[in-house]
Amino acid sequence: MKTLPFLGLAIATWLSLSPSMARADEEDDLIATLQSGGSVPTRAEAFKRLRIVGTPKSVPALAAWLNDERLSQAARFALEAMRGPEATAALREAASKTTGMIKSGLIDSLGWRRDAESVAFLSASLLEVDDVVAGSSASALGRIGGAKALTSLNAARDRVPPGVARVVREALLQVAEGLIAAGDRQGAETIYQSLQAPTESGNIRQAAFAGSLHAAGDGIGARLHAWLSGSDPDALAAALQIAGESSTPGVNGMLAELIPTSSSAVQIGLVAALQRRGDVEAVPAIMMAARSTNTAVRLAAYSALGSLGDDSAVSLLLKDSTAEDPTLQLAARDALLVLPRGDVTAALVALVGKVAAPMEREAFRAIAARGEPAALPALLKLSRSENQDTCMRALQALGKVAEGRDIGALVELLADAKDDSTRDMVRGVFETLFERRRDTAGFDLNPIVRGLASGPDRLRHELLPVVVGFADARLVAVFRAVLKSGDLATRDAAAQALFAARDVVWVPDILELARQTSDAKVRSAAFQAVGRLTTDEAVTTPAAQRAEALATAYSMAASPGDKLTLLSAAALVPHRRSMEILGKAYAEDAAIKADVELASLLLSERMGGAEFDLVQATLGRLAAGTINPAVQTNAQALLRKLDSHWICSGPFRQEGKEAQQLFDISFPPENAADGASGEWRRAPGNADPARVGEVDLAGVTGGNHCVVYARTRLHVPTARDAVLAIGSDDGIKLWLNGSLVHATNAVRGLTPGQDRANASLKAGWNEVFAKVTQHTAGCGFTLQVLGQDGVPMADVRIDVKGDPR
Amino acid sequence: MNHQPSRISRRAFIRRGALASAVATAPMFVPASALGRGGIQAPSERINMGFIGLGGQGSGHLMGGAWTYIPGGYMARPDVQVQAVCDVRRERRENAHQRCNQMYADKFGKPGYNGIRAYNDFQELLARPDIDAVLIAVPYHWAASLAIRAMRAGKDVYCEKPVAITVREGAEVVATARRHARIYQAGTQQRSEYGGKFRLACELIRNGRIGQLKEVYAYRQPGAFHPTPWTSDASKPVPEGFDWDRWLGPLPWRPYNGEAGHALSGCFIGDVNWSPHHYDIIQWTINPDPAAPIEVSCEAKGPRTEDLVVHYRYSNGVVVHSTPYPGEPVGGEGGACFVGTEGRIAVDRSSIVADPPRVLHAPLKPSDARVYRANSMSGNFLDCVRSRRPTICEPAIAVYTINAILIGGISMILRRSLRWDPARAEFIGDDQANRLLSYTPRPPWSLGA
Repeated sequence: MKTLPFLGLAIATWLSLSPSMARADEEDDLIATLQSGGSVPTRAEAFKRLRIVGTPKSVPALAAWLNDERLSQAARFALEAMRGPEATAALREAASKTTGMIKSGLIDSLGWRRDAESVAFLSASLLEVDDVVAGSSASALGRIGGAKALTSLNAARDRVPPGVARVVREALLQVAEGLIAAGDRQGAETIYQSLQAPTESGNIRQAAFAGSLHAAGDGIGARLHAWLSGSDPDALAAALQIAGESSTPGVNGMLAELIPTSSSAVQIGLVAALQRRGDVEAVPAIMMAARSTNTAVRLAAYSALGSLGDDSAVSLLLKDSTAEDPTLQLAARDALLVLPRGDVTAALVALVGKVAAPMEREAFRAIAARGEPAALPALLKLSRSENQDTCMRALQALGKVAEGRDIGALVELLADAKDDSTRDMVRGVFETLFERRRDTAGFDLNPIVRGLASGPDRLRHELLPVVVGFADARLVAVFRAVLKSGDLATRDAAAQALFAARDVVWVPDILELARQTSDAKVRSAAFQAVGRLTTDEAVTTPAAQRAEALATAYSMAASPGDKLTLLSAAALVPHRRSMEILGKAYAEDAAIKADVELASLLLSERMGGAEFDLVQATLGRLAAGTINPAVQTNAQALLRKLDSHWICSGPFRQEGKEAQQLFDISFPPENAADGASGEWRRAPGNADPARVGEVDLAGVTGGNHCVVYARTRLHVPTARDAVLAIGSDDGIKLWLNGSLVHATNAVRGLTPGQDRANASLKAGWNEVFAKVTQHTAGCGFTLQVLGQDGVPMADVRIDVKGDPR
Repeated sequence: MNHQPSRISRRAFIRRGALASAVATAPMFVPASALGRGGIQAPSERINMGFIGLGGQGSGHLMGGAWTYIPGGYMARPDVQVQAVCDVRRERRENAHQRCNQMYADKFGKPGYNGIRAYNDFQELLARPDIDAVLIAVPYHWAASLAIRAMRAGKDVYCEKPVAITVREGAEVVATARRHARIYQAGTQQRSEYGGKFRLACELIRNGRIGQLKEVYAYRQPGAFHPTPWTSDASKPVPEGFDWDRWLGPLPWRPYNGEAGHALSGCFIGDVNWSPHHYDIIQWTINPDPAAPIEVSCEAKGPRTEDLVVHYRYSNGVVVHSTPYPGEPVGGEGGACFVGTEGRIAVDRSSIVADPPRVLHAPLKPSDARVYRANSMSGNFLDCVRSRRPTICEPAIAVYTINAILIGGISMILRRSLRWDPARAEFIGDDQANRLLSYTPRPPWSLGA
């Protein structure tokens, strides 16, 4: 029997931590707190809460604290965001009665409230001798904006101390932005021009020039040209930054024309601006910059070429791909990788053999990294080069570029290879291709079949290690024919190749070799190969097939070493058959009993809840006692975690239907009146402590696009309404006592409680029936029973048998 | 050519370059003779920098260290001249001051070099016209305020996360950068560093390698600023040389009680420190319409704040959960797990994995859509200071991400679902939630000052 998670929570604690559950009379209580003379912490919490729930009703109580040295900021915090004129009036009133820091804070709040009625008060405060108050007033006026604020700021700009004058100028910039937003570009420009005076500081001038550009509209091109080619450094700096933003026609050409006559520092900015603007017409100008002797200019140009460049840049970039400066080298390599236009690969290929060796290496690197199929003919040709270095690099690149359709060409390469080194490299191309593609669907394997069946002996021998990299039925058949051939040398070569096979499909052949040999070392090598192949995580062969292969192998193993090799593998293959292998070993071989116990524990965990009865029995045996006490302890813990208290049936599939199409298709368990027909078994829980309560169906589905059903029983002592908090991966339908209460046809990961459904529970046992769809990746669901208040019900019991205990 | 290899600021260099261009008839480049010895760039080519905040992150940026991703720090870069260091802790300040001067003495072969100045008051550092850029690595509550002040003073800014602790602060960062035409880089180095793993994940997903992106698991709670005012008189002696009042800055004043790290307890709900790394990568990859509304909801798994789970639904249908992807360990270290209709990719600083694995084996093609490429965060910042091109994490991007975190945090405070309008930077139809978009800094440290 299990109770649902979180049932032990203290409801009172829960509610006290739920701020959104405001009481109707909460504000009155908070006001009373402020007025009662309570402790500072209590009042502080009241201010914080009134920030959220306060209304004009709270204003008098809050205003009383605005001039308090210790709590003014807290009271302001509550008032500043409150809607309505009452809060503004209270802030202004308090500001008029105080000085110094408190006044400065109050003025800041008036500014953020953008209170136009405060402009007169702020204009007066702007001229106060207290710089902090004057600065806050300037800032507030800038935020409020408008003609009156502008007049006050202009009047004060040359009368205030330097510290305040800086804020006044910032405020003027803000007023100008407000004018642009209101459509008054000319008004903004007037402000900006006044701030561009040579007497202003460089940073204010630069901001003013930037503002002028923002205000320029269609006239931006002329201003940009004037400032980019002019002599004012602040105008130039602003123009460089803004030039990339504008979409005004004609600007691109203007920027490009300026590059040749500009300094390096300006060239960098012009190139960056052209890159941002994204016009490919600028590429010739960028290419010119890319030939600069200045590293920073080249870096900027390479970055731009990566966005806009074409095959004309290949030679240039290739050169700096060999640069000693790692920054330059990386930038050039990066640009070569992503050059978006033209036939870049052809340009790279064309340079092979015509440039120095380091550049040639970089060319091959770029060809491989770009991975374009168009490179294949050239790479095949270069793979036959007399130049060993060129040949090797071409073959390396081929591994990245070749596809299944190119097998014939690769077989020819293998046949024509002049030495062992080249043959090894060609086989490496096959291996890389296999690693990249994993399966042979769409591969043209005929050239390999022909080569094995009727090729010269040397080619046949060379192809054998290639063949065992694939799991294609035709290749297997041809290979087996080779194994049976009368040619001893060929058979030996095939045997050696088999031990390096890459797919479990070759296991029967390996076992056959083991049967036929009397050499213990060969047998051990065979068993190790079987162990490796059946546990390779990259292999997609079903666990059943792999476990069966291990069972066969285990029946042939005689030495303790060979047995342990195979038992170690069995521990990693989650299947009933693996359990049986371990059970047999446990019963028959006392010498390796401790190892078998550990393997059984590992396998039980790896089963992920599948074969629950068998796993439960195994864990029960381990939990009762093991040679290694740690195994016993872990077995006990795992046993506790695995039982979800649900049972499940499935998977159910329909040809050609994906998960979301299966959602409304009824399979046998759903059609049965009692929902109990079909084969039902324990649904696995999750051993992860962070996922307790989750029904984990990933081990049940056995693949993608299917449906699994699950059911259990919930007991409540009294009838009541409840909220079902549901999570699922992927979609879920939920029935309660035969009635559908929830349906979400989703493709998603599981998050507990991601769906909610209302339900009426009857007193006693309630039947719960779920249908879960599996799209891809994980599969599972969670269910919590909550009260109407969102709190898990404490008296819910769950038991699949409906046991009345 | 007017250029002289003297100790002048880059800004002045630009002025001279521009003047030269006005009379030039042929391309003008910096001659090789202008370059310094031993690969050190000429002073006029270097970017003059100041460093504000010299704790672990700040000193790591400055001088490097075993943990940092910048070998040797900015001190080792040939294109940077460190001019000033600043911290409110005298010990940190003087340690950095002494070490950096010694490093330059060794680097330039000038015994007794003392060109770097140390400041307790950042305003003195910002007032120096010769400083082009500052790196800000300060407690959370100072980040936006300092960045804004630096940009108003005409400095370009590299700012460590969290870049803002309220939505209002973030908006001011964006507005100030635009107003003053400044370069700004948020310290979300996962976009550039760690071997490009995050960029690879982003580009694979954007190019449909896992089908249509449906869900993202963030592995981190978002968070928000929710300050508690001064409520206790408990205090301890302020350590010698520690300017406590300036450390507090805009926060509500309180006595020193021995606590002064990245943040004060009681000021935040959830996580605003590490979550920016996670959510930055997520937003980069989701690539949402920046103006489209976001739905954010908060689900209580239990009574504690740690039990709150936040879900975001973007206008393109992608749902982001603050939780880990069940059973997937990759993603916890600054990363995320992205789930699509045809597979998933999980990425963090250590690993990138996919299901099915072939997703990672099919290389991106030149024709695939690419994102902004940079392989060094500091390098990108400095390149952009030179070129005036936006950085890989410019203000609008950084603030869009921190806003996602902050609205999630506000949902946690209110424990209810909210709808966020990024274009207006406010919640739709929820006055209470909108009240949590700002706070009232302690004078004189208002954002406008």
